[in-house]
Amino acid sequence: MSHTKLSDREIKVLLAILHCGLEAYAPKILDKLFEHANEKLSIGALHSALDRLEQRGLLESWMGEATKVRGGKRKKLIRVTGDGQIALSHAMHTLNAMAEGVLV
Amino acid sequence: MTNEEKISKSWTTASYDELADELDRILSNDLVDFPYSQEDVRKALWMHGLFEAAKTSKRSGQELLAKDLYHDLDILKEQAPELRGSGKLSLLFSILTFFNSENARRIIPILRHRLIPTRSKLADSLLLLVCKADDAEAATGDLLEELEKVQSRHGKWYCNFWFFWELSLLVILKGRKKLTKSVLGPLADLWKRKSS
Repeated sequence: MSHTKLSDREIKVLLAILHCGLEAYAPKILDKLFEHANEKLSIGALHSALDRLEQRGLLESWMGEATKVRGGKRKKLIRVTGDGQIALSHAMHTLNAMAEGVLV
Repeated sequence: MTNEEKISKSWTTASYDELADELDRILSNDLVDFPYSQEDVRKALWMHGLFEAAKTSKRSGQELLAKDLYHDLDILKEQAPELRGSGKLSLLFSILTFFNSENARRIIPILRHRLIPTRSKLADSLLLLVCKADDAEAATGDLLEELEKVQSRHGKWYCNFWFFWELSLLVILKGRKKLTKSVLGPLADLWKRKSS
């Protein structure tokens, strides 16, 4: 299925969202990306990736409550959908299958 | 309605033009012994205009400042019994007393400075050009949250540079589709029409 193909960055972003748990939003995802993959993304690049994944139905988002931090702006909370989980496991499985029997 | 309530009501609803008209009437009819110079009046009314602009602005910082200013004004009104009464005349005196006071002179530069758009407002308005309101709000919030981290790590100068750089990237990336549609779309149409 062509629509479930994920790029390297998309895989990392999806995994970072899963690491965040229930409260996944952009700055937290950036932190997780840096923590686990040592990758520094700009907010624009992350938002662009998130928008793309959402359009493909791999993510869903909703607006959280307004808090005093962040200049009183609401957070856009993100969750990986069922399709997203399937696409991710498919991508991971493909990588593992490719790596099998090869010295890396 | 008490006199004080009437004053506060007229204070909040009177416009700059109404006050200027009232001033003209007072000066032309020589109704009262007027202790202020034309220059004082001009400055006070200008400050009042600035103040009203800040009051009607949606920025919370300015609202708080406006509340502080009004609180100070109430205290001044209590301290000057001759200013009590109803109508625009007393209102005008209140404005003059207040905006010619040392207290106001200290506050006005801060107020004027706060009228310059904040980072939050700038990011909001630019992002609203290219994406939906919810997206713009969330993206601005994300940017501000990251900005705090950058400021604590690298200091003020770098954080200013970082903010403008990230904001431009965000606007370009968020508005990529819109820009393509609105700029390249008509150009492509023009090209097609010319070639056919």
